Amino acid sequence: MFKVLLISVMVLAARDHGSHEHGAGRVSIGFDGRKGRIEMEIPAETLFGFEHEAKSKKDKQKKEEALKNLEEKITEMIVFDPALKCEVRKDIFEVSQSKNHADVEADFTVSCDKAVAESTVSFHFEKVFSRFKKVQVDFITDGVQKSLQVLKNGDSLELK
Amino acid sequence: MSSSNILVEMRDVQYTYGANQKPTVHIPEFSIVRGEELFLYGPSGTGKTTLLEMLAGVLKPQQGTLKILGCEFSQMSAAARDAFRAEHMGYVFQNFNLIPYLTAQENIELPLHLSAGRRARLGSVDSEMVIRALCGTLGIGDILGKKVGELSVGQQQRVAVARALLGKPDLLLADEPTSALDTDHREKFLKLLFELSDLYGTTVVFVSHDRSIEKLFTRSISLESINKVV
Amino acid sequence: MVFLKLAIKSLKNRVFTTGLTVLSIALSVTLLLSVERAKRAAEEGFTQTISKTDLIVGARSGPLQLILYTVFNMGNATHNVSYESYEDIKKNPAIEWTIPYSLGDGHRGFRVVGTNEDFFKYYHYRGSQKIALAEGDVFKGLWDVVVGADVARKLNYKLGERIIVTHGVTKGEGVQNHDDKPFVVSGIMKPTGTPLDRGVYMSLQGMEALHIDWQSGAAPTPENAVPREQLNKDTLKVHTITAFFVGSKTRIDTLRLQREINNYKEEPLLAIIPGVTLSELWNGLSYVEGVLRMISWMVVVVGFMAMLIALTTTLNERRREMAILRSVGATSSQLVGLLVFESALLTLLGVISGAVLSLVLVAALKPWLETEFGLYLTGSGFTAREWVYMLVTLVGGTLIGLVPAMRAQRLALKDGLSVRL
Repeated sequence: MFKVLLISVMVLAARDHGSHEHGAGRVSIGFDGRKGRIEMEIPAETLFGFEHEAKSKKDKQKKEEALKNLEEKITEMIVFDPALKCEVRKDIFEVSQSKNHADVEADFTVSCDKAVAESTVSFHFEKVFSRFKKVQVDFITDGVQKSLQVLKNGDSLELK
Repeated sequence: MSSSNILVEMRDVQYTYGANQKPTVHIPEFSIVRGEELFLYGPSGTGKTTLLEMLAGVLKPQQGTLKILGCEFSQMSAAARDAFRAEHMGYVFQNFNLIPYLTAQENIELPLHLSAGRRARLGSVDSEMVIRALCGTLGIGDILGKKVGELSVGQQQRVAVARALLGKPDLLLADEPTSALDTDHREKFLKLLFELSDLYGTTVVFVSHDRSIEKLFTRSISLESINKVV
Repeated sequence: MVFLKLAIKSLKNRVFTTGLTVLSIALSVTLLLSVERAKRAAEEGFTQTISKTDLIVGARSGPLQLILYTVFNMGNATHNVSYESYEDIKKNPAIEWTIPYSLGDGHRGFRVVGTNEDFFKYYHYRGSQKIALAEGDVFKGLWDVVVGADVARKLNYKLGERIIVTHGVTKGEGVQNHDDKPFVVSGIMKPTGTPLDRGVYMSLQGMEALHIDWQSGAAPTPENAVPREQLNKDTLKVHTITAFFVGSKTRIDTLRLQREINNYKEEPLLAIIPGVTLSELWNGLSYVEGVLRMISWMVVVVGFMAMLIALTTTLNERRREMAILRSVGATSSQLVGLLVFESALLTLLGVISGAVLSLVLVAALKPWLETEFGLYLTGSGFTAREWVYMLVTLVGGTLIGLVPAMRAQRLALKDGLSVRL
């Protein structure tokens, strides 16, 4: 009985992986003490509202604005404990365009005054890009490996 | 009869059940003298039980005054009347007097556990000894450790009397306790009861419809003569 | 305390209904606590079985499948990882250490793991605990094996014991034994309280040697068999492993490394961060746990109903008893107290027996949970949450007792001293 249960749980837990799903995103955050890195993988639709190649002036403008928004408002989406005084900087933004789909890969570097261990991080993706529905967040730092599915503004992860 | 000799004094006492038009009991005037053995008789429906329950303080007169030992019952709270009953009265039922899952002795001790006043009446004497002596007199000394179910009806009634008289209460109320006994046992039972009540100075109020035993009492009154309703 | 005595004697007098009531409450409490306990065991088991490993890499399959067969000894890998890929990835400068893991064979119900000495150096569990040997030494020679603490205890193995490995079976008795190639116990591990205790560990070459003369999964015919004596650890070439553990230099490297391995061109691989996968599994489990907990509370309510029915049905028979207590001076609120006290006593008995039963159950199921699921229950006693559950049940049961008690009070006031039954 328990095995059946476990298998159904596995199916439940595994169904969200790897697919390109609109409104969903994947964020990985790695930290070594005070220095960290954020890697985001987001379907372009969630950010721009479309996934075809931006050819028209209007689309290009939308795309530019969204990426600018992403860069400027990252600290509103991923909120570290203010006491840590973390600074987030854009590293690489990359839009990979296939025929009908586009994904945005956005990497940031983070540096804080104090180590993040034992603190709490909260997430507000929907506040900035309303098309976000769920974001899979993986967080690793020394001794902590955690994951969280962010479904609403304010979901948080305790780093201990 | 000096007034200090009066144990119970009733004036214009009335009790009506629920929404009945007519009261069940209406006693213009009645008193019970300290130390007497009173026989109250009358057929059922004459308010015997209602009167007993008022005397016991379970029912509160809706009108008039009812004084026992100088305490005005109609002005006391239910809890105060319960405490008064525990301290000053013993009660013997018609049958089913005892709590089935306790032994005879545990049944007898019940009032002592419920009332500090009753306990105080025993004085400094060990309650165990008092119970032994009392039960010896009643002829039930050897069955104290037994469960109620193992006792005969007669034995059960005597255990009930022991419980009612423990701590020398002022008043013993009895609701036809002899109806389950045969004539022979009835007389023996009453003689024993009076022997003890005389010894303790306990007043006995005994209600029954069976007048064959009235000659054993010091006073016999028909309920119909004091209850105006009937 | 006359009411304590009265309540106990009265309950004893009705021992059958009392017993049933206590039983129904006890069972519901047991269920409630067991769900809680299973959750705790799973949580502890999951978080304490492996630590300090940044990535687990295996052939591409489900992430949970990968962690279950590597760490929890559940299920099997469908594909292997070629040794070349392993060697290639190992060269990545972001990697600090690796532990190769080769699975698939068993020994009398325990699984056999082919690995190397790095297993003893880098495998951590429960924070920073490392594997230590109680006796002997790590496997040096080709035919040496180190056995886990449970294996040594259950099979009563001493150093120098010769053992036979079973092909293709990780559980139970196998059909095909590698009986031409016995191994020798060179070391015995200290207990870890993890599924590691249920493994037999040998070198990768030893694992390879077992299968050197096997062809496409079939045992060799006598003329094809390579004799044990001709094999040598230094010349044996390892072809495949099942998975490997990775410790990266920094956590930031881990993310990059994970992506690189997942996009590895030579063969389809899957790299998972164990804690992340476990916490995903954990989220799934807590959903199931929520449902189970709701069911257990419902069972508790049913238990209360049984008590309510038992107390209410006996009430009529007890009206006489109430009148007697009234006659000797009990107030009607004391009668309420007596009945509430009875239900509190029933619930208390139920909670205590439920708690004891749950402990017995855990003790009884412990070996099964360990062998079947690799879940090692650590820590006994009750958690704060479990105490709260017991308290809530106790308070709930006592409050339920108010229902028949209020009814009894109403009856007592109505009956006075004259119950005619």
